[in-house]
Amino acid sequence: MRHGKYPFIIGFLVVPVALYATFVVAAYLQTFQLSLTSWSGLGKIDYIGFDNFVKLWHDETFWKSIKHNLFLLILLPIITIVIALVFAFLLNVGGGHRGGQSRGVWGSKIYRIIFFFPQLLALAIVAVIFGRVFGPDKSGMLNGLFPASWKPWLFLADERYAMACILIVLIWQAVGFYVVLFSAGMGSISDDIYEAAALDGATRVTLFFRITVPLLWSTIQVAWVYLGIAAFDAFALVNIMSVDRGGPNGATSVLSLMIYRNAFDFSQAGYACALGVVLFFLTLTFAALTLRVTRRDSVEA
Amino acid sequence: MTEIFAKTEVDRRTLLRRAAAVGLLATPAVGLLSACVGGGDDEPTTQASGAKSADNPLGIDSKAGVEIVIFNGGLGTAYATDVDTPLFNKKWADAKITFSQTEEVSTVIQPRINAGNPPDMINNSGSKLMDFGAIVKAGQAADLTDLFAAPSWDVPGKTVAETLVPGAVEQGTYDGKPFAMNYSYTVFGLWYNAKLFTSKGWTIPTTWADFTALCDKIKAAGITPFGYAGANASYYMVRALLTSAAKIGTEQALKDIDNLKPGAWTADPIKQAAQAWGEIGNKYINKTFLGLRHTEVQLQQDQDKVAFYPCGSWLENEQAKDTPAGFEYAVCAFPSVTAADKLPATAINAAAGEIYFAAAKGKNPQGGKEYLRAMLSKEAALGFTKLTKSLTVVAGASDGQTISPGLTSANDVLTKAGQDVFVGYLFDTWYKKLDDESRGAVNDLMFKGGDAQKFCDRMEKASQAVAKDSSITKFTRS
Amino acid sequence: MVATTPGAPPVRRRRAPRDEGTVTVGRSRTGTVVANVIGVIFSVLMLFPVYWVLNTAFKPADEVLALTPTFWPKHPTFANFTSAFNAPLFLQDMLNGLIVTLLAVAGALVVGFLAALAIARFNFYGRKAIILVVLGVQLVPFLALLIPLFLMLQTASLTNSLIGVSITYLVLILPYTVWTLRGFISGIPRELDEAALIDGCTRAQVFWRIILPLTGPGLVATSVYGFIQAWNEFIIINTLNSPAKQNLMAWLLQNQTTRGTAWGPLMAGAIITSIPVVVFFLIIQRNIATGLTAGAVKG
Repeated sequence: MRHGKYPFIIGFLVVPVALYATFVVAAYLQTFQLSLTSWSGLGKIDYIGFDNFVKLWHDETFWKSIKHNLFLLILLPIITIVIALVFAFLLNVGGGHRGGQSRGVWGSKIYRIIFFFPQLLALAIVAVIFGRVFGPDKSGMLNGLFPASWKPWLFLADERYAMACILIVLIWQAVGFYVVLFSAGMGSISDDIYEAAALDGATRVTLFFRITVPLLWSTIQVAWVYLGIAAFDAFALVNIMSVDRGGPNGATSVLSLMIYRNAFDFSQAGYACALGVVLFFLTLTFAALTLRVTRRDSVEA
Repeated sequence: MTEIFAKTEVDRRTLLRRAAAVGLLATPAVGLLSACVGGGDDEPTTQASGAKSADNPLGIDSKAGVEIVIFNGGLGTAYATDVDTPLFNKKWADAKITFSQTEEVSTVIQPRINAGNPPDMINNSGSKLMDFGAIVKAGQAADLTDLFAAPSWDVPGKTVAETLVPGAVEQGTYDGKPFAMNYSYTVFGLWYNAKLFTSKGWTIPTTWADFTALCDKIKAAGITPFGYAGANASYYMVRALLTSAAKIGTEQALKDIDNLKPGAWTADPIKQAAQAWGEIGNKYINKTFLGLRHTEVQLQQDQDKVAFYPCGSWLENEQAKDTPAGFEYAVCAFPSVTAADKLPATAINAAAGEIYFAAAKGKNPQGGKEYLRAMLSKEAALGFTKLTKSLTVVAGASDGQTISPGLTSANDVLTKAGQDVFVGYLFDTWYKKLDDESRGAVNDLMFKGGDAQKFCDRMEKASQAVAKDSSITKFTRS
Repeated sequence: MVATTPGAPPVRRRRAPRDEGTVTVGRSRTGTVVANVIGVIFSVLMLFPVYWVLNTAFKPADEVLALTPTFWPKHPTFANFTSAFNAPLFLQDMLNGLIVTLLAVAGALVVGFLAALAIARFNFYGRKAIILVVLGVQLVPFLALLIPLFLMLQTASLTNSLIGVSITYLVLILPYTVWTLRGFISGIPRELDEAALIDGCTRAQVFWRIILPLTGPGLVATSVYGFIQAWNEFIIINTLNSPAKQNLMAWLLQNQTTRGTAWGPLMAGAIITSIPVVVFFLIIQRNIATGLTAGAVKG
């Protein structure tokens, strides 16, 4: 079996490795390199050591953005996973089992498709729709539903709620994917286990917490990482939806938006790259932490 | 990303801001990467030229073709194909015009400039325009001195420069030489529905007391007196506020701001303007506008739910499709804030924009300039205005013409202002971060209590932070 | 809907096959009703915006702009669709999007399948490192790479080109493709390879004749995912290319910004834009679940 292994390996991997080396590794090295410059994006490049990092340490918007990223990082995975788990459970196990089919609630296949729909809509469209949902006057869908005597909520234009609005949209868009993901995971849990538990008189709630969640733990872990990454990114949505791109008064600024704006609006490519470096390490730290922390609790490990 | 309602705005500030925004894309210059705007060394192979004469002041080769590229945006390209080119060919029948259009100038033209094969005349505009400063630095733009000194195409006895509005040539001047022709001309002011105002018997205010009195009346009629879109058009409000400040203390107040002079934002003119506008915000604005976008507030104005909207003269054309029959755009100058205002109530803020230039390294730069000379004729300017509903820098080209009510109104305002027209401020294009801060600050001022002192202090702090940041390239003006 | 995945990999671990026999686990009528009520409410929440898109797309302009919107078009019209189709660059950008997406997905499948084979079937020096990089790419927001990416592609004269974007998308969807296919290939027992080798197959034949067909559902699942990703992407293509070389997503965004209140055609455009993805999804939504779990399996 060992004979002639390397020609295959090299042949199979040369293209992807070359692609990564160029588009990811080299690109990142360049980001690191530029983060040490005061490059505006134009003209000559001056190396300024770690000045950019000192500057961002004192940058209010940077800390605001970090705060918002953390807000998303904590709430987006938790809420999304809880909702998705509950629904996946309802769809798969909630209706009980009959006739050799692990029967979800009635029409579970339809639900699954419906929940997946937001995932299929492009963000550009999602942003437009939710712009109407959160319309700040009576023509907005939510304000329209509120009692006439209420003063209209400003939603995205209100510093207090703007970030929450962004969170809601992110959850709305993500949840379906994870319902399907968890459903698939649940489908692979053997019915014997449920049967055995049922013989012990387990209720649905017990089934959920004692069997489904532990057995799905590795899938949940993956979901957590993916959602965390989505929380770190969030650029596209904030960029299109928020008032004044990251406003009002920086109330929806996130790191990726700062990168984009510094690079393409503020002509501070060096600074943008420094932010990129920070984002890089934050994301990796998060992923490593998540995998390490959750692995310990995993029943499978 | 794309500007919010990009392509129809053609004022200088927007253009410059976009130049800054896309500058990064236009000229990368990292170590191993060499794709920057070509250097000034390589001489063009052969450039077409002919003998100069009274009839051919730029000395073009009457048989050499001219290649032009026009940005296809809010202004369209019909003015080039249907007005300018026929006009050019009437005089130079043998010079074939090769026309092409593009939505993104930098992605299409930049490689050709790098390859030493640029078109002869380029309309550098749109959300992906090329950084013009870099083009000039690289020696890729032709010096337009001879064009502006040449006799006008169709105004006898005047040079091209003499037919233009004040400041038009200066706005395209870099290090003392003109390289760009800024063609379109934007007037800023308060926009309203002339028909509504006539039917209600409301007259245009010139003093602040008149203004607030009128606002009371409008409010009593169940209409929001004043509004702007906080979500993405707050810079119109910044312009309103700073225009008022300039009227109080002359344009010097704005120059100080642009030059990041300490105390510029806390100076009296700014404070007085902020106070006056903050009061308007407290009393007459609809607070939900904070979350609305330009088009949404415009929709309300179209339905006569808002009386005054601060904007530039592109507004009418931008809204053309959605303007109902009972609506007639008109503009007026911002009223005087105090009786002691240094500029008269009729003073306005107007600026040239939309860059056209001849490529220095093209096959026929003189032909490109001649095309520009044709564009700067009264005939072409009028044609442009008719097609695009946008004024040009050619002075008085559309006088006496009824093209559209909004345009006529803008022209009137311009005439009334006489010499009291000022270019305004440039800090928003020079220092985007400061621009951002001003948007947030003006929203707070107008929607959240009208604290003028807070506005001034916040802007002063941001301005000084920019001044101290050595990584930001500084500009000055005088 | 097909109950079992056609051509699913043969038994791996204790996965999936639905048990025979009647099971009556945790079953109560009220519980089912409650579950369904929650499900319906949630479906409404999920679907309402989608419904609103449809609603708006079929409304004539004056109804769209009415300040008190109605829940149903009074005079349904296809005008918005025609106007979207006739809008400048719509068809062009649709074609661009298709080309870019198909190139990227096809490329990612070929490259990804081979890479997954190498990772799943061979032990070699640097294997761990490659897995790490593959995973790492998924973790890092691509935005941080936009500046160097642009500079690189410009050096290679691949800006404003469909090829440049295709390559970028390929890189973007490759990690997921490799990861998922790796899961599928690991699920195929090695004994099968060995048996085939004993029967006289060459190793290449084993890959081609045995593993590739068995990975079929995985290929389908990953291609859908890749298709959705590439089709819906707009930041990269908007940064790299001019409108004539962008996709429908970028087209939508630009028309949203330049057309202002023309919601009707915009929504119609949105629907047309979403159709390929939705159709794709509906056809193979069964496989997508299989693909998702395969990708999620540890090891």
